[in-house]
Amino acid sequence: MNSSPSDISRSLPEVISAVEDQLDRFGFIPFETQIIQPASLFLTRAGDQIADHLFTFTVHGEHYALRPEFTSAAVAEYLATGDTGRPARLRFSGYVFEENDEGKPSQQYSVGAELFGVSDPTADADVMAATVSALRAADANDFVLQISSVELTRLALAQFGLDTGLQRLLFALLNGDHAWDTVYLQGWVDAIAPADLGDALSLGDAPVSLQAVSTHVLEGTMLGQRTQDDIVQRLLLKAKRAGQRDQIRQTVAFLKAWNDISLTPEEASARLLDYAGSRSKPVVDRFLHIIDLLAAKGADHRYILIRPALSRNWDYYTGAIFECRLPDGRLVAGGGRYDDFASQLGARQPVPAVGVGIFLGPLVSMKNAAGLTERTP
Amino acid sequence: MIKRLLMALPSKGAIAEPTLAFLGECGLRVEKPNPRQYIGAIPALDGLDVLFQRVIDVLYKVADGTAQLGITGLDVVREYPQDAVIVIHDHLNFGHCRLVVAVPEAWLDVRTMLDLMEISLQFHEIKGRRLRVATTYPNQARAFLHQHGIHHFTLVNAEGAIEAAPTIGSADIVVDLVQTGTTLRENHLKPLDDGIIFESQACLIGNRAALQSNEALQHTTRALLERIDATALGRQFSQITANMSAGSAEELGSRIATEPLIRGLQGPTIAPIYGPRSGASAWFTVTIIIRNGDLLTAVERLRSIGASQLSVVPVRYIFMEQSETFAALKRQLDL
Repeated sequence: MNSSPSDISRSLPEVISAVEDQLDRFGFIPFETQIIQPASLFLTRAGDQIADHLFTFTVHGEHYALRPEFTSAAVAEYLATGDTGRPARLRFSGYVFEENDEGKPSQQYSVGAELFGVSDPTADADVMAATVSALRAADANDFVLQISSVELTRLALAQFGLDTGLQRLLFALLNGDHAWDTVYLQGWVDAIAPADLGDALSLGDAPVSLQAVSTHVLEGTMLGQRTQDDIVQRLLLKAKRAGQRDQIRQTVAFLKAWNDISLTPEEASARLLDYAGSRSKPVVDRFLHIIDLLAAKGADHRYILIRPALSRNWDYYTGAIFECRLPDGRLVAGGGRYDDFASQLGARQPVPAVGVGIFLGPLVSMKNAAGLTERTP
Repeated sequence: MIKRLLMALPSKGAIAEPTLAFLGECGLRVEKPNPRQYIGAIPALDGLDVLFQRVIDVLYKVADGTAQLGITGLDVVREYPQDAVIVIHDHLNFGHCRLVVAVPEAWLDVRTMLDLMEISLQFHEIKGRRLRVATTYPNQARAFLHQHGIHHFTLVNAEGAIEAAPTIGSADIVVDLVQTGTTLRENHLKPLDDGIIFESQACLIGNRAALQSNEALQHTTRALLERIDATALGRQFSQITANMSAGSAEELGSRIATEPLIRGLQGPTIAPIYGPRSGASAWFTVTIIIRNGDLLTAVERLRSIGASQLSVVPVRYIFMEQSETFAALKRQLDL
């Protein structure tokens, strides 16, 4: 912790080679992904922010995207090699793209690393340790490494006995961009489980049974991609939720508390299980094991924070996830475990995987960055 | 040679006829010599020609400077923001409509955006599908859906009959302009309770650079806005002329002055009526300008202080010290 971002004064090529060298030391070998990819590759697993900001375009009726990251394309291209039996450590380097709020393309240089084929926590710890080393090699020492687990959050949410649709909404609420004030949360509960059920079901005052709705109202109507059954089931679900208002309130209160949790690794060892609930013990143990391994690999505990509610912008994560941010909040690295992704892309065998994207923009001095931008097309 | 100025007006669509009616009401009748031609003129505004274009092209013609002024819908301006275009008047008070999110009526379980968010998550996670949204307003639709936590959707660009897209099967829901809601209902769609993206109406736009530098344009714009402001203000008022008897004009004036409602904009105009006197009092004509909403109350008040025979006429124009809209435009342009 002996430099601040203002001391960072290296050029982009210097930062690139410093970061790449560190990843090489961790055994990652260079691999290429195409810049232009089918948009669906990213959209099917993109989280909210990515889906919003993916830079897409259409050529002859086909939708394409400029890669916003390496992981999706890395998995697809790794699977395409056909050689997925053995563990592999691949690293990627190049520009990644997104659409900014004005709808214009923006790009920044990124270095990525993916570790395929290792399901135990050593892989998680290894990728995190490689990230920490790479950032240090780029003279960024003041960053905070925040670690979480999407698996843990999902499990903690499940303990309230609510339906899976509602759990999905609650997960989205946790990741949503909104204030955690009482009025907002109360309004949210009211919208999810309106006290006045008839109103919620669009049935007005008519005493209509749900079966009657199914047979008489929906027959032969336009439903889009939904079926009669989808609608009736969800009506039933809403009716059920109306009777679960207390449970829903409790879950929302839990999420609010969950969102506030920020623990040092020592505090996490002592207390994380209390927050998550005893059913989560195997997951909590596995998670804490990653942090122990990380320490054993030389990562300094003092700048690690356990933030259970941390979310990353990709839906493909299944386990531990992490982010590194500079003191001013700028993101310099983010990644995590995504064990199901290969199967979703059609792999016959599951391919356990952990990956990271390191963003070099904030690591390059403003002066150098400006100079480079002028020369870079 | 003096270059003539050009104002682009909608040639067809929901606001085409109302635009001509609006300008007519403002005393700016548009002359269109040949219904097939795209050129016309407004005789009351010297040096200004009219170019008829589709609403979207009105925006583009003003943006590229072909036309310096234009009347189009706020919906169009918001969907395709142009740095070169400035909105001079954003509430011309016609062409009202709203951009809404609407879903099939048969989706009985969906009434709010939160319901729709759950459906989109269900599509995404269970069915591996995306909600298909038909719209000609992709930018606003996208921003609004994102704002409401809906991220997994595909915009279906459907030209023309957006409302028919779900029936045809090319979309699940629509984001479209609604005036009365009839078209939605006929297509078995319903707007969501909190699915109003924004309320639109007709607006006057101008080319920013031209307005900044072209004095003739500034002059014409001012004349145009004087008429528009005066008409809009006039429309809110009526003029009451009441015959009242009193000892003197002064006495009548002070009687009226005690009633704030009937003092009019500044105070009453009182003029003597030359006719048979009744005893010591004379007859006067009192003229005041009153807000339409206060009309009947004002009539009662005037009666209560002795008015008989009241006549009321609508006010066509009220010109204030200056056109407020033009003053605001000058501030906006730093003139």
